[in-house]
Amino acid sequence: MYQLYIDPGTGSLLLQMLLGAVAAVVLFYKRIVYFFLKIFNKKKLEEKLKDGNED
Amino acid sequence: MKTEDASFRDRDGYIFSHEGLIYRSISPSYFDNYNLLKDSGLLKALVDNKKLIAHQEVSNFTDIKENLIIQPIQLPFISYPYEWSFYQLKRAALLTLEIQLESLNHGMSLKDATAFNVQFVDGKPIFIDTLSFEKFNDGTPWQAYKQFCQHFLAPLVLQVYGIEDLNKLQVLHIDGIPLELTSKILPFRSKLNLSIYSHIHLNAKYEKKYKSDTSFKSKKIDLPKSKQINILNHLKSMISGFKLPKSKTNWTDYYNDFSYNSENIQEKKDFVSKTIANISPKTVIDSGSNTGLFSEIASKFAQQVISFDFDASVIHNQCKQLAKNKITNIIPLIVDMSNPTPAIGWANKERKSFIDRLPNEATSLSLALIHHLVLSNNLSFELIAKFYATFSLHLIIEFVPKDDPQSQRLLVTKKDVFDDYTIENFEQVFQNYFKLITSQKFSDSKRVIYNFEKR
Repeated sequence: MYQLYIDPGTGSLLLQMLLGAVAAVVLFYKRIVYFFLKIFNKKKLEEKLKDGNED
Repeated sequence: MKTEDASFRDRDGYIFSHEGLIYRSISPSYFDNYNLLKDSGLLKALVDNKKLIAHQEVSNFTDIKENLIIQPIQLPFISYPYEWSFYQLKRAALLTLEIQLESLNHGMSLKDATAFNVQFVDGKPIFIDTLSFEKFNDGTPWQAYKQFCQHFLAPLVLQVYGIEDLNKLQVLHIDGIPLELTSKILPFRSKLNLSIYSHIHLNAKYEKKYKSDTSFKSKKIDLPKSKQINILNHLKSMISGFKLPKSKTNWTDYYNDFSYNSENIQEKKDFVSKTIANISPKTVIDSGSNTGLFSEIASKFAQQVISFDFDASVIHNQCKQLAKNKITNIIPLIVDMSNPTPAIGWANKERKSFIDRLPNEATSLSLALIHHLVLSNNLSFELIAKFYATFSLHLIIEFVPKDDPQSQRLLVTKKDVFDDYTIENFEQVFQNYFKLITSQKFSDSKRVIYNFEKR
């Protein structure tokens, strides 16, 4: 392990091992949802992108 | 040569100032990483995309031979995360994640992820710590993940769930809002969101569970690069989708309120734009900027405008408005005029107070503010005039008389002990500190606007 000047936190490091696997699944799922949204809601999505009025 | 008070955490180098310019000294312990930053092409990739501040190596400091000295592009003003709106913090968070992803691409990784490493220049966030990059060893998780969650994710998520005045909580916690605290404050329904559950609630639980676990060093923690990239992309898509609750963004438009008609506002606009055009200042400081209407006028004639207001949603909306209008020389900040950002950290010097960071000899705008300062905060004309005189060469100030509807509104629930709140008193006291150049009465109200110059 690297010697660090900030405390990375043991828990946070261990958590990443767990999340690494989960995140891939979530992203994959989101991509599928987005794909279908794109087909059915193309117009709406385009308007949303054009608007640019995001937070 | 003076070492910056904030620059002591990282042993790989430090910031110092010399003859009014800022430099960074790099210690030999960082040379390998610095060379890798250059040779891997990461430095060029980030600087070309305006994600990392550009710098040049200099050799005019012969007394510190062992170190390498670089001179970064000089920043006109330093702001702190607890002065940023949701809009700004979100963009700073996304920038940090993009930099980590780019770093992994080049075989490096961010060794820290504090929000203090980001500044706003030309309306965009930019990473300013050239020494934050280290060689990436495949298999190691992101060391700065926890710090990222505390500095960025926690304050963003809390705001998404409608918890207000977050910047005050950020002032109390110099290394970000602790995850255990965040987990406790958040409403129960936040646990139903899988992303927030894992990065905040579960993270807090893991932290607590393994805090005193000393056996950890022998444990093998292995996270392949591809999985770290998954986590980073997940954080990125989660934060991109963050929005403030609707009620927090529908602020009432002051200029549509009852005290102004369109003729008045036009007169005020004309006076401000004529006066600032004449001065053509380097810096305008707009205190109590509200919607930022007058900051925008000032931005046409000034190099930079620092506009601040105590209302976080007003600053958030101003940021959106500026992005829409493509105005880049205004920096909107959440600062309360009656209680400005304090100095915090080691010896109360690590992070400077707002007043300490203000440029000298600025042109100050103080429009429709005096009645708040006196009638709500019980300040005297003397204290206000003296305060503006500490940093303003010019002062454009609007006097709002007591019988104005806006003043009356402030006195509804308060005893009127302000016999000295008269226009004569105002003029007399302010002229002890400033010379009156011009003033103008509005045709449709009793308000008067003044252009003062420091004595």
